[in-house]
Amino acid sequence: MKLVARKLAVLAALAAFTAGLSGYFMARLQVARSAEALRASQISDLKFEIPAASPDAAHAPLAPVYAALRSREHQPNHGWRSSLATLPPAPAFTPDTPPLSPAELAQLLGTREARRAYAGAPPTVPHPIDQVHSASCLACHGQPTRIGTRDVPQMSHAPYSQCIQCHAPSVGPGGGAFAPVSVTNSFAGLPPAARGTRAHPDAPPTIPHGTHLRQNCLSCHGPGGSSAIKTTHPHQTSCLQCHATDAARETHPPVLRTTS
Amino acid sequence: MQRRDFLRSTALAAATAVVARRLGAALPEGLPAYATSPSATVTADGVRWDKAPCRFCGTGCHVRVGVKDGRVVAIQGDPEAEVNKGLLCMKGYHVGGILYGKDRLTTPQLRRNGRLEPITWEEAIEIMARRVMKNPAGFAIYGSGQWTIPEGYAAQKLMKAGLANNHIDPNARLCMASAVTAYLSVYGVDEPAGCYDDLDVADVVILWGNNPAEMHPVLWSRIIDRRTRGEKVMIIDLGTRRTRSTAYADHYLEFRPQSDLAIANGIAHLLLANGTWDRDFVSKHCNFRTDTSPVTLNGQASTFEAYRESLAPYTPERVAEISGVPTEKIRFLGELFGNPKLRITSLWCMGMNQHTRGTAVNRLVHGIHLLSGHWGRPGDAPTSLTGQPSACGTAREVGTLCHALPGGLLVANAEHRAECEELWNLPAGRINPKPGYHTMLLWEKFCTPTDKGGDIHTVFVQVTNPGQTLPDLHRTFNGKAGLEDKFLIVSDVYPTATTALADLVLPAAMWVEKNGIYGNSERRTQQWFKQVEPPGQARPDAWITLALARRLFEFGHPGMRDRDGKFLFQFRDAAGREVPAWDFAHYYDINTDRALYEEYRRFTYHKHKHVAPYDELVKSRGLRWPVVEQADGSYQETRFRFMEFSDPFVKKGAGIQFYHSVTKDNRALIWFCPYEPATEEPDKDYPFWLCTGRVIEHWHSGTMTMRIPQLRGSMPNAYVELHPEDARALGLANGDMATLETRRGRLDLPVWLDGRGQPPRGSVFVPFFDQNLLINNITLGDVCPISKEPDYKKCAVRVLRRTSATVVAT
Repeated sequence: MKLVARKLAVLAALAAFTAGLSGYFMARLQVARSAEALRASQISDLKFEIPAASPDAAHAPLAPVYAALRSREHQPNHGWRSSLATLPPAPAFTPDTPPLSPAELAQLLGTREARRAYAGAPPTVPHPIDQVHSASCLACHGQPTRIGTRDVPQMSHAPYSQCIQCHAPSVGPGGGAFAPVSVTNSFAGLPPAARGTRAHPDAPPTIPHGTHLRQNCLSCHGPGGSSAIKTTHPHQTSCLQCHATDAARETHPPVLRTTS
Repeated sequence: MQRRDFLRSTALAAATAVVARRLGAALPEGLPAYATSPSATVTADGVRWDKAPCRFCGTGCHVRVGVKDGRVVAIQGDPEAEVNKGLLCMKGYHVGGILYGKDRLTTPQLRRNGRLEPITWEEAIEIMARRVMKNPAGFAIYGSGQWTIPEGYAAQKLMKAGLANNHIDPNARLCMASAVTAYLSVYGVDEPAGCYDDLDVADVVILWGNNPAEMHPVLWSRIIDRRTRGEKVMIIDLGTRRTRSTAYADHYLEFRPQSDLAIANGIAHLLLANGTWDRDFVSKHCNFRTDTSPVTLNGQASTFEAYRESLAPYTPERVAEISGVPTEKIRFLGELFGNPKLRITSLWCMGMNQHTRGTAVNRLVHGIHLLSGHWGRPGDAPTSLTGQPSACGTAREVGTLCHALPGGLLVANAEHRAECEELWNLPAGRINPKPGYHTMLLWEKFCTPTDKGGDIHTVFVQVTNPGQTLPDLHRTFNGKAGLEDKFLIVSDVYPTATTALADLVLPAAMWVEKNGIYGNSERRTQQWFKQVEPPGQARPDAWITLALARRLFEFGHPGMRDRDGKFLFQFRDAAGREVPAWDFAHYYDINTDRALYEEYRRFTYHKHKHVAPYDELVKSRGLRWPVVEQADGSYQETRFRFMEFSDPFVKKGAGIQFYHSVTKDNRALIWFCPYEPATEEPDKDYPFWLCTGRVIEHWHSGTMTMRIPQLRGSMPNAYVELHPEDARALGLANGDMATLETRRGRLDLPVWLDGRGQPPRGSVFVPFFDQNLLINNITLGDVCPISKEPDYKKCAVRVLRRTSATVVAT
């Protein structure tokens, strides 16, 4: 008798587990689907349809008590589940992409220079930051992303663990509201590199800057990047296959050792 | 000639030819011919790149300085540097900007009728020399861990060999003096045995009140980037507030300020109670010591039994009660140290050093490493980090402290004095046997009226900003105002809180505007050449000291002559002709840095601190001493001291040998020091702890970094961090103005909640970089009785919502 009861119990547990498991995956699927639908609806044309009032009172959402409104789940965007990583990248450049107008180009380069003390300096961060965690930097900068109309550049180097070691926010804590920044300093940084050279008109241009900490060419020269020079062939990802670097700029010429 | 030798010499010739060709193009106009760094290159855009250590912290990263048309235009991390391997921090990347603030000091200025007016260098040196001649014993030099080694050495020689005056102390007294006294009392000789290589292999890194994510960012990424490569490293943050470093820590143990003493004792207690201490290591390499009353540097001999008995009260329960750290976490620390398989590195900086029991807590941390045998293998190391680029090189090694002579020798030791008199060619008995005034005493004597015992009448400040960085400034510095017979001389690069009270201001050349040598936290000596011209009449600090010494010589001060009647500072060119380097027109005729450094180098042998020859430094990105000449004439640096596999001075077969041991038996000392409360703890009237410190953007008093737009933009002013619940109770929100009041003064600051650092309830944090919001007006000046280093991390403060409507200073 006891044995049968135990077997039954095991069976029941198994059944419950299976049901639970499938339920879990179904729920996951539903969440994923509904999130996808939500994204699609927002990205496509930002139109929302107001559902018709349901005659069935059981379907009406339960109104929260006022005290609960302060809690987390009633804050704006609490239900927002989409990952930044799945936002669409900026459109890729192709030979058909129209070149930037002089004004657009000037603006692009002006913004780029304003964020760098000199060519090769780690750019400053043009927005307030999470003061502690690098993971929040990677959420957006781990991949090329477009948020609204703003292109978010991907990091130009493999992720180190501590972004704020090198990248200073350009606005202080509290959005720089505590004190106006007035610094008179006549440091004049090295301007952005000129163009590389070409051996002949069809030759791939050489790279006129060092590639240390700039191993990811697409960060600047790809979609969403800040350089005026965009690749016309983003599907080719082995850039250094054709574009030669300048040994004088690359780290250091090898040291000649005199010991045998 | 052997074939092998022939190959070698042809390779050498070829290499030299290549180097020469590169340098022929690379040597910029106007720079001395000897400034031929083999690392210099020129890129196609006309930028000349050469090496230099970074100007900021004690990490000692190397940068590549890009110079075009006589100005620094770009900076790169130096990929050949072992310390930073091509990476820098945000300060390092912007270090070029420190030269070009619009308000650089460019001409000597004398205060007349309350106003600084330009004078000539000749007048300035004359005025200085007359102040000294008035009463040489009342003259003092307040120096710096940012002095280059030759600068510090010149000042040291002027004072101790020339004026027989020991009133010379560096700002490093405020920074790592407690680490020094502990190294001395544990190992008998200063400076860490390990090096940064420990960080690459440690399984566990323990931060003792340390926030390297902001203060030593490059070392921090060296640790945490190991995780990106798939390695495991456990980080334990023992702290009194959550910081950026906490975000990477596996365990955060928040302790009540000052109770680090109890935690360290608790770990030792558990090692004994669990029987997991390393019997073999201790029996071979350690003796026991305990404090005397009153405390002294070397205490008194003790025994294992007495040690065990002293530790008996430090049960996990008792330690938890004192520290607020749960017993299970105390036990966890005990188990970590009791596990011989792990490699454990302890790191600390100001948290343990700026402590009224700084020497004691330093000793205790060394003690648990020794007791548990987590000592003597790469990755097993108690390592103190320094905050200044040459706190080790200039303050500790050159010994520019009131009680020290170069190379770790002491003024109070007759043999050491005789040895230095010999090396300096002085008449016997020249060096004053009485230690001079340490920093706190020096400033107290300067700010006290002469008729009330203030017997320091003139202080010459070089490369530091005591008007902002001394604690309790109203007592230690601001009192100078109004004392007519006191005279303050300051050489600096920008106007500071110190020049505000100075009577004579001298414009200094900085960083790559002069030749220099620094020594970093891991015993690495680093050299660079002058790469640009300083602005206006700015001149190197070493020259200022030489010129002063020469003027004193001309005035007939007997101390400026050696035992043969010759001037103390002799310089000769390659042909053996004397070069008057004290005359600025000839300062760069020879490499005075090289001459001063080579003279100093002879002092470093006594304590086996052999620094590398200058010419070896030129070729390298720094070398870690002892740097010992090999049979083939090459020089070998030492990564790990006292360990046979690395240190050539350890006797073969000894394994580990503490060859400067206090007890003269090659053993290190395991100390017992009790937990004692802080000298000023929160009470009813002043209920909060006040801790001060730094931020990643700004370096110390912000004289340089506050003039860099990118860094100032990121961190424009000081603030006070509070716990949100405390803030709520006080009616303070983010950005509101709070008033901080201690027994020494008050200061208004904007509140930052849930920001970069998060203090626990009952404590607040304020950074000290902001000259407009001087937190040191209200900090405590109490010192460690042994190291005389003040505690900036703990005092009692009252926090109020500010009532007046005045706008914060900008």
